[in-house]
Amino acid sequence: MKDTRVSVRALSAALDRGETTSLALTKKYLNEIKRRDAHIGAFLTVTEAAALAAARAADQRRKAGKVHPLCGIPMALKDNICTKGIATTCASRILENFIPPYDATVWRRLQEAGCVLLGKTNMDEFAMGSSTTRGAFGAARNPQNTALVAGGSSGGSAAAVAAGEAAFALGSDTGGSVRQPAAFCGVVGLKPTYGRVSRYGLTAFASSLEQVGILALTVEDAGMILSVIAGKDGRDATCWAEQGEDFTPQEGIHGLRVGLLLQGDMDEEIRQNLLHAAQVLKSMGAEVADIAIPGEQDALAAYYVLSAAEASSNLARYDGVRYGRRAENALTPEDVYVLSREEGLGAEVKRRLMLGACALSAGYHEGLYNRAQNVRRQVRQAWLDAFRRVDVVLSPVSPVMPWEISQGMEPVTEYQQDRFTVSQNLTGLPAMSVPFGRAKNSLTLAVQLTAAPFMEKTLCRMGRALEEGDEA
Amino acid sequence: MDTKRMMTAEDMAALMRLKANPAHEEEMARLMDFALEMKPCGEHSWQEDPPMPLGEDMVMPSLDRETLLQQAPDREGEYIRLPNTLGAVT
Repeated sequence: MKDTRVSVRALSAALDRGETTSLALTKKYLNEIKRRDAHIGAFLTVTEAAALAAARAADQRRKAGKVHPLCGIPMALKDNICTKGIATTCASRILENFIPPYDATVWRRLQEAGCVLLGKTNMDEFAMGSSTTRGAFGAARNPQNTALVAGGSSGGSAAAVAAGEAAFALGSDTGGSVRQPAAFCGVVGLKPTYGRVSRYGLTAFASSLEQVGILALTVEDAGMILSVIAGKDGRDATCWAEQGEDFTPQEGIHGLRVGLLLQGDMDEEIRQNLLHAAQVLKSMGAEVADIAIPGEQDALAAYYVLSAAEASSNLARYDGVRYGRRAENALTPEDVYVLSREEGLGAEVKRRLMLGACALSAGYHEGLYNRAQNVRRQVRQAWLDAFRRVDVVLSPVSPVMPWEISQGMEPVTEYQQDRFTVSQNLTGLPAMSVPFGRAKNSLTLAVQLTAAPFMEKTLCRMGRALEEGDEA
Repeated sequence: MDTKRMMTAEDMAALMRLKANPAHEEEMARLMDFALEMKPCGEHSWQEDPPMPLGEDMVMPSLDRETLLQQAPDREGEYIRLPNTLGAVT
């Protein structure tokens, strides 16, 4: 096996046939990381010794008997997913020395299946960003063109998979942070329904919006991984869907109803690509019609108000007292809090915390927070109404192509690039970014599929069809 | 009344236990303009909606005190240490 850009399904089959071992695979991926990652910046921590030990253990398990298809597969985790004994920094100076004393549920389940952890991936600080240039430890670069952003905030995970540095990775998606970097890097990005996957051990940013998501080379891979990490968890009361569901995509989309959502401005190449995707799905037997979602134009501002409000509460714990960075020259307890946070938190995080504090304050609560919640309610109802008429909504992921890292982007301008992804977080709906088409500059393009609550199987079925219909 | 100007960036920073910075005023004004782009909508309040369904509460073992204290930047036995509120006692 020459290349490391191989699907999990193919790797698993090769392991089962005895054509390779987990140890050989893990060494290959570790070598790829050493060869490429200095230029890509996908990883913050590489766990070489632990990975090799886990690979040997996986090979022993396979020799002893039947194992899970994910046994021995080398993968990566976004650095906001807690890993016992392994640094988890959220790409923030305030957590640069933090080593979690427990594993996130999603990681525990992957370990039980026998996965091999290669390391923790780069991200925007505390998952606040759309470029993976706002972390404290350097930017991640797009493997398709390293002058361009990888997208964010799960840019490290997307870049690792796209570059062949990991067979798959987990990220987190609060406003598009799995789907958008997946689109930018040319891989599949799946955000499950809110409540499908446990958030225990996912460092909290906006608790009512975020979900652990999957970055993989194929839709089938994403479905396979979802089958392992999804399901009820006693440590997360918001995660109550049953375990053990099989998300292997079924063949054929004949008769499935697709709503084409083309609201809002976007690059013309992205618009034309979406229209082409709709044509391809129609030629494969789907019924395609235009739809509109009322209230969508207010979703972006509502998302930023609500996520900032939740972040202001969730990040209050980073005060230099119980863990994390503490400022050295603090003379009073108040100094400990203020100086530690001032030194430890980056500019984007501070902006959002301040906005969130304002949104929850007397005098602003009605005009900001309550209004945002009402917009959220309206948008959710509009989407649920749409799913009475269609099975899947086809829409853009990002209005623009990846921009140059050196160009930077003013904060509000960067927020506006999320306008096609935030609704799925506001409403809790499952959504997937699937590579489809190619731009004139050779970058892969992508489209977004959204389904009704807990209909990830339909999502995977449609996603697989798009993969088959993609001529790029 | 222009409510978006009532709270200054300094106020917001204080609420979040951050240092005030004059550069924040203009930045926060832009963010507030962006946030206030939402139009008021509908007559129903979100507070009338039923809460989302949750799983049953399950009692799960937690981490012991020693494990939780291991990461403390400054500790003394079973306690986390902070500077005196009123400064050093001499």
